[in-house]
Amino acid sequence: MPPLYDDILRELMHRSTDDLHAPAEVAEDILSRHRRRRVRNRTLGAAATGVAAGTAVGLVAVASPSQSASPKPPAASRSVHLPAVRLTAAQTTLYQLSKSAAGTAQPAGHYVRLAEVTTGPDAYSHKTSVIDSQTGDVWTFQKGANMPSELPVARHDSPTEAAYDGYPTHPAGLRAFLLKKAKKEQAISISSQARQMHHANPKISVQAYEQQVAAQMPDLSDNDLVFQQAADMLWSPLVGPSLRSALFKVLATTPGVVVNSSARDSRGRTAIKISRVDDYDGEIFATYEKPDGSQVLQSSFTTSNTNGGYAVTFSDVCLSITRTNKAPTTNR
Amino acid sequence: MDKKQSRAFAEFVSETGDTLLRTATLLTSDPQLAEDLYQETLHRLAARWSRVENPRAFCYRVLHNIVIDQSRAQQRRPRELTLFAGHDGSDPRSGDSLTAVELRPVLFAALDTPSPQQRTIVVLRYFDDRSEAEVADLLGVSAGTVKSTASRALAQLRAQPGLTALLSTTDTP
Repeated sequence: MPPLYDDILRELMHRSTDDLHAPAEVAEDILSRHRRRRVRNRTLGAAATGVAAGTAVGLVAVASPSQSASPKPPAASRSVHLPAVRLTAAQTTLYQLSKSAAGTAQPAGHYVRLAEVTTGPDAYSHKTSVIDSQTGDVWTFQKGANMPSELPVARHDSPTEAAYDGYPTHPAGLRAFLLKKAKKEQAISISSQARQMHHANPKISVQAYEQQVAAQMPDLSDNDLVFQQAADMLWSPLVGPSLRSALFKVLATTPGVVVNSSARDSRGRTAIKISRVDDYDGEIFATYEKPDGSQVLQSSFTTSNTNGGYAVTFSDVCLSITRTNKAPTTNR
Repeated sequence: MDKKQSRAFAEFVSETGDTLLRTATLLTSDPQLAEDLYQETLHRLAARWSRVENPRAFCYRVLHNIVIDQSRAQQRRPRELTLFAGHDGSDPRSGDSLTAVELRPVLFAALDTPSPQQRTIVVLRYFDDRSEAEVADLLGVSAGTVKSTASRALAQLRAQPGLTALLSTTDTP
């Protein structure tokens, strides 16, 4: 199905302005004036004159008032065939998903029950998470070899529904937000690992351990981080329609994203598979979306087989998502 | 502004500055004028920073108002365009490498045709990805008006010969 016109127009507007950047001095200048409380009258007189006189932009000449009097050449001799601006098939599908997602209803209910199956080469387990949409508390019930049937409730483990509603939904802003979030999480992880190591060996300082841990952290590219964050966020049932819609748009502008619009998940359900190979180490992250963009069916990652071993895939397969006002019954 | 407010302002500008400048460019067809509008918008925002709840919405409203004032104050002159003579239209590879500078004149010529209100709706809806409700709120019109204006403007843009030549898609990735 060909892309919709508004998607092409969006692409054209972006490509026509991608080279323009806000000059940093403007904000700095404004801040310095407002800090010193200087009052200054600004008019747009100069700018208006600029428009009337005509401004040349790059390679193109725009008519000035004096030229507008000369006769226009006939239309036929002015036609130039310009090659096409193309939206890839992957982008087209992602923009379609974005549109359907925006139109889905957000179900009501204080608690979300997410039932899933986790599979890996040596593991198979069944997990039900119950999330309190208002506090972000998460209860976990599970069934599998050598695992407790219920974990202690994780308080405020998930962002609340209200928190998600506050995330930016402008794609550029969301992308920056996801990147900032990823880097903050990396910093927290480095710091907590360092503290644990210092606790085990107090002779070495936390800072020294932080440097050591940081040096060993995978050097993921910005695109790696954004894709993982976006795919991860799509998994959460508390994410509302506008945020889902915006996440698909972020994916549409992330390089390296591959889309298979007639895929099936491991349970045979029709899905749109969105995947990407890490720039860093060739790991493949994939998310299988319900074709209406309303929820994730499966989330997988596949290790790369660079060490001569086999590539191994771990998957979380969503069985059902329900919302209820009934609190979870717990044995703890 | 105190130190905390200055930092918040600076953060807002670093996150939103490029988008604001590009929106201004799409609303005015003039990158240099857009820079002036961008500066003016930020000045007004800084002056009211402590009282503004939604800085992004405030900036869009200011941009739109300045553009409207401008278009009333000067007569609209038809633009004549000379496409870069050296452009090779027969080269199949050159499609995707058309630079922003080369794309702008065609887009601007098309965007100059709708009314300022129609243009703002198209830019805010499709470039800035604002919702219908948000745009309605910004312009003081109903969401229904935004919806119908957007579709009518899209249909109008589709009919622009310059854009039609430029815009076509293939299904190959």
